[in-house]
Amino acid sequence: LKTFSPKSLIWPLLLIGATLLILAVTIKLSGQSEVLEAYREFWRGSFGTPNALAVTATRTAILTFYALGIALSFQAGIINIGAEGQSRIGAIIAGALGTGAIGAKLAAAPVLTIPGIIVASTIAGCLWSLVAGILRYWRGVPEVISTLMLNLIALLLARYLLSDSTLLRGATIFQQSDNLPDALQFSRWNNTEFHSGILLLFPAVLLCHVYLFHTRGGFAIRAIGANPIAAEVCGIKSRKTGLITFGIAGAFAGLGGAIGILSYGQLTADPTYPDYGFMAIAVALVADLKPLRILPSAILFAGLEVGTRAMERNAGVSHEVVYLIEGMIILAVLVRNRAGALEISTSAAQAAE
Amino acid sequence: MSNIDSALEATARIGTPLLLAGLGETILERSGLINIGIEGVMLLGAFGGFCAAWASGSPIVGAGAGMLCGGFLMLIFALIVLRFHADQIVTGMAINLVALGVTGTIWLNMSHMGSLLAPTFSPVFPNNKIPLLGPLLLSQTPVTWVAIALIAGTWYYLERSERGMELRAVGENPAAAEASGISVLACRWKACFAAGVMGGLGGAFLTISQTASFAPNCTKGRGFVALAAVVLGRYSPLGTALACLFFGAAFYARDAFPSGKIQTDLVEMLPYAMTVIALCLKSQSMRAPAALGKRYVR
Repeated sequence: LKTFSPKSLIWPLLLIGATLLILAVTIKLSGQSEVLEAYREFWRGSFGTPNALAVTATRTAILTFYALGIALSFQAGIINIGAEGQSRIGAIIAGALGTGAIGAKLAAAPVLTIPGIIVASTIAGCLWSLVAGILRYWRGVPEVISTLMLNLIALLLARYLLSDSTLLRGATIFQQSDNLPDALQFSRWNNTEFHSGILLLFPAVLLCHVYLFHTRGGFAIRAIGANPIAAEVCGIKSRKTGLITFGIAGAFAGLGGAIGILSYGQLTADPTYPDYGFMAIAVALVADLKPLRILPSAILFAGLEVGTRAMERNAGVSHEVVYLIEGMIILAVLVRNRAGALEISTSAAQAAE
Repeated sequence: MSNIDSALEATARIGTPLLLAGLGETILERSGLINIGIEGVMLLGAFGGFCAAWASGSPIVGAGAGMLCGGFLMLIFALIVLRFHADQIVTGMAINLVALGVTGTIWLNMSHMGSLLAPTFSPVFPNNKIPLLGPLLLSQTPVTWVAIALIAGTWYYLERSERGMELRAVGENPAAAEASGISVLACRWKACFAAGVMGGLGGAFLTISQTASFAPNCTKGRGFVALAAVVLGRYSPLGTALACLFFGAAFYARDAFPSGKIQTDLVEMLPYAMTVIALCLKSQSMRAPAALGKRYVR
């Protein structure tokens, strides 16, 4: 914030411009409606009405949680792409605690048990991520392969649990759990999707920022990312710091998964917010891996996601274009960053091995 | 056909796209690059192959188009990774997203044309009675023949040919390879294109041989299964091929048994779980190419 200059806005504006351009081309191609008309739907669906704002806000929170964990990992030179799976494990725990006999009991004192469920899910996500961390530091397994595989395992585990009625499957529909008791669901404000769980995102961003830039632990994370050898020489244990980073990243993802379940109200075969774990990589990269910048970045991406869904409903323009835009944005950031933070950190990690 | 024959037939059929993508990824990883965008490469190949086959009425044109689409996408990967020295994993992830977005967007615009069907490859010798060889090879489509030929071809290239030795040198120690006169970048560009072409054909097989239609995200994680097969196969063509066929058999078993008898989700988990466990048990002896995933700046 100290170094704010109008120049730093050029890049984000460029990305937004490119995004609008890709959208315009897609709208033209689909031929279903006028470009301006479709843009109006986009605006109304993302930021234009209180209801739309609430939906964007919930998505912003989820993306922010995932992106904070990813940013910390990348700062440490750890390419942890496991947010999707870690959040799924968090969601499974939230679903298991919130439904059935346990859920009925927990519904008696929601003031205590909702935070309890959130904490349990956070720990579960943390442990799932630590599996990859332990494999990396004790068995030399690259975290890229392990987190990718653990993602797919977690997704399929949820499906398996939901297909068996003795496990998590609900009474009515295949591959869906029962609804959480009303007491355990976040209460919605004025019938919008807005709920109190979203407010957790502000302390999360602040804590992350302070931890990363103003504490010893955060310094250690940045140090092992920038130059593991130098860090080790200075007495920073790269293994310990790395494991802590894995744990924090998983905890954030698990938290996101729990919030999704507590606001949506049930566990389904597909994640409540599918592919957000990958989307969050774009969020973190656009934010230059800095926690404070993740919030605006997440707002933009959440708006994009929600707005294009509205465009698909009301103007016949494919929502899938959002994946194209995200992919292009990631590539653009990678090209621009070739002398940037990520580059330096990983090439130093390379030198260390 | 007897039960065993139909099992063998299905194993080879389901294993074909995995084989094609897995062998391509093996070559790429031996050159020191890792591409988790293989899923997107297959998806774009499936879509491009389907569109070309549908428009031209010929599955051969479709296969060619699928290969070109895959190769083109991998050239973008190569550009970002080799020219701009970007992180390979993040680039691969972006490649997946781009492929998902492009195919999904264009497909929605095509869907108002009604249900589209592409011409498909037909089995070379259907209904033959030859044991073992019949179901595994003769009653398959030409694409499977190509895939099986590529097992031998990739093995010869990587393990016996001079070019393959150079490629392995690039994957183990790029600086030393460069010093001995091998162009690391040229070698890796070629490996990228080859992996793209093979992955694209593997994807195209799904839409113009196994089925005749496209659906958004129709590769359904097969690229990741191929990636797992490469790791399980210890980065060798023969090992990768065995792993691909094993997964083919497992997926056949999942589909063949009446639902409820076998937990489909647990079977689908098999490739991923086996990869994690194998890496965990044997990560020392199944050593990856030394320069795998690392940035090389000349």
